[in-house]
Amino acid sequence: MRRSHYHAMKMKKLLDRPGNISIIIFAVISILLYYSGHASGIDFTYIQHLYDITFDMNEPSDVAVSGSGQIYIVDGVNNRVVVSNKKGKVIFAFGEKGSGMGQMLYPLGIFVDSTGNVYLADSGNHRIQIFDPFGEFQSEIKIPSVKGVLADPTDITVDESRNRIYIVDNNNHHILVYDLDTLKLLDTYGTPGMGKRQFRYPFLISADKANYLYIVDVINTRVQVLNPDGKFVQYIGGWGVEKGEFFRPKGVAVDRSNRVFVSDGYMGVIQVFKTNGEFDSVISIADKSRIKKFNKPVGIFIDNNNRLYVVEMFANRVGVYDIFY
Amino acid sequence: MINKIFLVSLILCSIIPASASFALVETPRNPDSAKECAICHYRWIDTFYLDGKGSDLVPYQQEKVVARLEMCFTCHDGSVVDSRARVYNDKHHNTDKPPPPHMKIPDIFPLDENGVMQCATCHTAHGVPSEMGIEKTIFIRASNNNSEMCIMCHTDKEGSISNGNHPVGPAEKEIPLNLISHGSRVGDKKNHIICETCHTVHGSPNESFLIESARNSGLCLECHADKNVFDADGKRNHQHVVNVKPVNVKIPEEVIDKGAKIGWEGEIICQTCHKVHNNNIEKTLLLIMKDEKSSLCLTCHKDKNYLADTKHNLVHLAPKEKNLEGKTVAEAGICSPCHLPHKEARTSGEGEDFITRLCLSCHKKGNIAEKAVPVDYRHPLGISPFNNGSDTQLNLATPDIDEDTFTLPLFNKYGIQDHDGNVTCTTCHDPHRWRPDSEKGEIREDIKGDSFSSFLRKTAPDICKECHSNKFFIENSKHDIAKVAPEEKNSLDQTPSESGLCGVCHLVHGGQQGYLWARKTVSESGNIVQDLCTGCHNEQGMAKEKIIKDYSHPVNISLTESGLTTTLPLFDKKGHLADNGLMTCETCHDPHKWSPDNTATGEHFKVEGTISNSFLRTANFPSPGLCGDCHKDESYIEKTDHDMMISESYGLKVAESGTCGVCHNVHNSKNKTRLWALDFADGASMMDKMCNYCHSGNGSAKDKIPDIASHPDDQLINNIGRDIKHTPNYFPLYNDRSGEYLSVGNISCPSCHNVHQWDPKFKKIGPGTNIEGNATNSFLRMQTYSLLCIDCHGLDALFRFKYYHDVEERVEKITNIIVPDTFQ
Repeated sequence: MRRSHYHAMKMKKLLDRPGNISIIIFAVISILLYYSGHASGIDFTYIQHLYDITFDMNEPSDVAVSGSGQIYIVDGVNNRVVVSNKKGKVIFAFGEKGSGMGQMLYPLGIFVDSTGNVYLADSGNHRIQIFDPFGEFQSEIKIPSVKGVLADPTDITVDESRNRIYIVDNNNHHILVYDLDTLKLLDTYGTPGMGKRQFRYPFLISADKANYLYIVDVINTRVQVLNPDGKFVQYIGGWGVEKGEFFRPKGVAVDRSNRVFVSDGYMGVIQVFKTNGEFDSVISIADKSRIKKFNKPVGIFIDNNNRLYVVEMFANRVGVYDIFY
Repeated sequence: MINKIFLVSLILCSIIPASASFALVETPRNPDSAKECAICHYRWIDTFYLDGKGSDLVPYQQEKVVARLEMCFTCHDGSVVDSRARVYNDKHHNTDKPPPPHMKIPDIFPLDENGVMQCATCHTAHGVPSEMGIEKTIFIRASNNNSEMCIMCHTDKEGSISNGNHPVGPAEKEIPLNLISHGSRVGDKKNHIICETCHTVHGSPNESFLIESARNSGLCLECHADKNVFDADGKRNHQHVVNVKPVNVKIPEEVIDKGAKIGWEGEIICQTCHKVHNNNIEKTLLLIMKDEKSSLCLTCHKDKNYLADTKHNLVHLAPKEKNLEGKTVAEAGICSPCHLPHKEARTSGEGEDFITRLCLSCHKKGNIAEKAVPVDYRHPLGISPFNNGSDTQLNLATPDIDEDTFTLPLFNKYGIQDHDGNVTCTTCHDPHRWRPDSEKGEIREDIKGDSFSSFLRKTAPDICKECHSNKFFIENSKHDIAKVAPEEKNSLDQTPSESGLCGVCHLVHGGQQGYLWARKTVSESGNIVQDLCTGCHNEQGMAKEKIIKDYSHPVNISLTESGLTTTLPLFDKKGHLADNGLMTCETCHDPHKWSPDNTATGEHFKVEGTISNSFLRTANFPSPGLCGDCHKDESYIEKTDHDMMISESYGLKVAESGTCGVCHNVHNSKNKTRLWALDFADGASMMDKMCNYCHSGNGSAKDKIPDIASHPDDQLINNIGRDIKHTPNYFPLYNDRSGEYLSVGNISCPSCHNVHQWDPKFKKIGPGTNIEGNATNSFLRMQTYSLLCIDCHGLDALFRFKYYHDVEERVEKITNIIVPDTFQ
């Protein structure tokens, strides 16, 4: 039901009741005020659905795509990574529940570097595991606790030009910087809080071509952008349900035009922001001209072919779409 | 109500400052706290609550969704807390359902507007004062210290055994670490059992939100490991089995109706007998039924009640006997002397398997069943009837028992019935039933069991037949003693009608060494198998008409030493099969089978035997299969001119004697030499006399008489080197009187001729037709064929051969014979 029609019905009911004249006057005034200040209309970024990847996944959380097109999906509650080819056919999976090498415990985030190596946020085991493209264990980074608070690594991204790994520690509200070669801790970005360079439950992370970091700051309901050295750049989005606002931001991805895509796990939308943080549009299915609602979208990824990959946690699938510009 | 709120909001939004409207509807007091609250209270977001509208992204939200699972999951999806596996996996305490009708939910646990449970029924994001500490607090509405919150709704689970529930509170036993590692919780005291020790409201994939499933008894056995059927070392404990599918027992519906549970595949589990919550039946052991003197046992094991009027009910013969709990049968019920559900009832006897040890706990010297102690030589235990092993030749057990029709129970070493198990006491005996054909028992002490009772599962011999059906060809044969000597008694003084078909010769308990022999043996050959036969086949025995006298085939001989091989069974002196053993009666005879091809029918014990039956293992007619199994070289006589089947027999009964029996009698021959079956004709030597019996004017080979066939005697031919059998130049010499082999002696017919092989070049049977011979066959030996006397006589050999074998050559010179010097 459209809102204007809803209000008209309300007015009709009020007019039918004797003695409501004064109330009606106030109501008319308030409706006029409401509609005169309402910004209607929204721009869309259109996508076209290509295929879904399912494979009996159980609450998947993140997705990453290698340069060769292999799609790596974190199938967290099944404690495995599901790998499909570029056509969406699952070709293998690796991992099982446990804490040994190659085993995992409710992993969340994933990243694939230019050589195809896979970096997995093995959250329940408080570590990052590194695998070769075929899922063979290579090495691990054990993330230390902070003042008795166990680390909760939820996502990673790699800056190969600077030889760095950036790891989100969700429980300790900061970003850890590790050396890619030595796997030693180099630096820590951020503290708990609501200000600049502060986080409340940072979750998934992405980077643009210049390796600026885009960190989903869940409870602060924003995406915070840091430069590679950890200096604050800007916020994207804020609290609310209007366009350009978030209720539960979950995933972030940056396209080749440096547009920033952010998924909202409760509102079920993916919003697109310009490089400067200004709201651009919201994702819509081509030819439908209405907002595309996803079933709890979490991790998102955009590949070099402008394909958008969306993990829908409640639907236990990953949707693959072409983005139209 | 909603209409009113809308209206008020509408009016206030238009004319009253926003802060005033917050106060009226109890919304947060400042923007920061507004977000902090609306972060769960979605409908309190300004767009909805203050503006009363939706946005371009989402519709207007009017309904309360704060405690919906979807809302909780916006943080518990790993982005703040990861509860995906534990909570949001359809494995949690019921939500979206109303509480059961009988359950009273305290007011502090709110249901939603539809009266159903939601996350917020138990949880609140605002927290409550709790002594548990933040590390244990999960934002629940009341302290759950020692599961107190659980009990607030589940009041019927409160208390302990007195309320018919599993005990809670401090226990003596330690809560196993394994259980804790699976999520089990312990109360605030040592070994403190609480609801959450067994149950978890989040993340359990098991029934009733159990930490581990109890449908395989797993949860119960975590703490009650001593009740497990097996201990950690794999040893069988004296416990009622669990996690085993009942084979002979059906859990009665009445027990299921009372709340008994069975495993996922129908197995017996702990909860089949025990009801751990709301047990109003039996509150001491939380049993599913009251157990008064074995009544619970007999509820499922109804057929075991047949025990009541048997000697195995100790109330009759040993009423004062006490089990290891110190209770008599009168005190604890008829099952109690032998079985207690969770402990040993008697001190086990000796034995290789669990059941044998149970039986021998009474059936041993000095104990209550010492009168029925199995003696040393008894049917073997611990063997599988389906696996003959090395026994394939004698086939003591039928080699191809039909496993589907096999009815006797087999047991593994743990005493659990197992189709792949072995024979034990209870394979043949049902200790709970005196007679297989009746539910009535026998308690008179002076009445002994027989083949129809004795707690047998089937009467004898049918029970023997289950495994040994291949021995039952003995029925109606001359070895069926009930038919041929019905008054004969075995060593237990039983007639065949009392002992049964098998019991005439074999005693399952107390037989003699060697096939559990049930009869007196008289021979002292030192060979057990031999002695079994001669026990009857002697001049005083019941088979005195069929005794073996002199001039019979030798027994107790080694074939290896004779250079022979065979596929027939050979035995060592203890009666065991042995590849290099001795030949005995049973090498050729199978005492259980009159006819090798099992064609004998009816009362064939009345029929005289032939070489096609007579308990022979292999028929000796029309081919000499039995003799030929050892005497292979001699079996090439078949279908040659020396096989009377081919040549005119002149009255010899080949069908009765077989090819070999025409010339040789295996038993009781009239002649010792070669067990010669015929008379002797004229001739220079014993061997010639045998040949000439046929090769003479009245013989069957009267047309095959050499005109001249002699060799000067007394030349003392030294034959050393040519007297080795099976060598190419074999050329035997024989003692003229006895026919025994010599190394120095005279030539006789079989020196040059092998009467059993037509053509020396080919070890094969004959063509089956009469053919005229020549110098290359004609039963010549290879030596004869190859050398024709040359090796002795050199170039003079041909002249000499013609002189002694060709009448024409010899007659021309007979008036003026010149005998070479060497012949004189």
